[in-house]
Amino acid sequence: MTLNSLIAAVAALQRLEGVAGVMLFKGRNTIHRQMPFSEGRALDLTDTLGQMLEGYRQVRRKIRQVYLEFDGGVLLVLVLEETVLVFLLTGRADADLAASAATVLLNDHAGLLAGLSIEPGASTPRTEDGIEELVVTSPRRLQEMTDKAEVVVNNWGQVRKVIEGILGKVMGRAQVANLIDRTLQDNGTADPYRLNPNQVRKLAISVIEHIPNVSKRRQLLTELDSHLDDL
Amino acid sequence: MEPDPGLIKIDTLQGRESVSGGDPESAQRFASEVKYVTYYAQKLAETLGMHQLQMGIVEDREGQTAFHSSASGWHGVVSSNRRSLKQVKESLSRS
Repeated sequence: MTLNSLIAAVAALQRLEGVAGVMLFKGRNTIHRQMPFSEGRALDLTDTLGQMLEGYRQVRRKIRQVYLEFDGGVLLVLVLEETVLVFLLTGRADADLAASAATVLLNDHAGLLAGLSIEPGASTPRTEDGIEELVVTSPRRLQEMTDKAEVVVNNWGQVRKVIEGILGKVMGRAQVANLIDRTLQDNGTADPYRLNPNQVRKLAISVIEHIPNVSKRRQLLTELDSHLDDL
Repeated sequence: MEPDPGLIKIDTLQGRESVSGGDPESAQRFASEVKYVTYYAQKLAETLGMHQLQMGIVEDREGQTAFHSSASGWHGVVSSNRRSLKQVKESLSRS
């Protein structure tokens, strides 16, 4: 894995619903920043969070996650060793989904992150002649990178909740959970969060299709369609 | 549903702060956590152009400390279980 693939993966997190900004840093080294405010403000944010987490380190507390809900939005902070991934979320976001996607990303890139410096500017990509590339700072290039990047997560979390809500009317909660797990297994889907939107829809339909009663099944599928269109 | 057992409260009345609920160790940890987080949250709110913290959930290897603002101070829990943010928020809203 390269620094560019890491940056593309972090940028892809911004596609999750309700994510207003994402930032990844290690010490004073900002690896990626896409926040809806000025660079100076983003640096202030990095400094304050850095001080706060340093305080925890000094008392040997290994913080994994900090969720701060303010009157105007949510700051969600995921920590892996010295690396910090920050989300700025709106009320539309699924904070659990963002947190789990970020955790997967941090763990997948743990080796690369461990090797990065904590010095400012250390992870700005450079070409062989030492000239700084505009890979990260150019919005167009960033867009190209994120378009090419594998979709790390989708809205499976929300879709699963919809399925649970619909099937909860005809069977118990544990049965619903078992049915979803069995369908995932039957379909050979190891990680539903990596499916594309069409595959997620098909997966949701295949869960409902286990309902033996034809008319009930049709009714639930109609309901599913309507919910999925609203997501 | 019943509110969380072990609910801890930090109430401020006429400038005097009192901590109640939970076992002594949890109450002390809760009070320290709230004080520490709210100090930095105030700085973060200024940076973000927001006004005040309404809820905080801090998770480490040993569990979660969750708190939300109330009319008289902060209410919340210290838990050794790791629950989803949604579950914690729902639980706090019932307290």
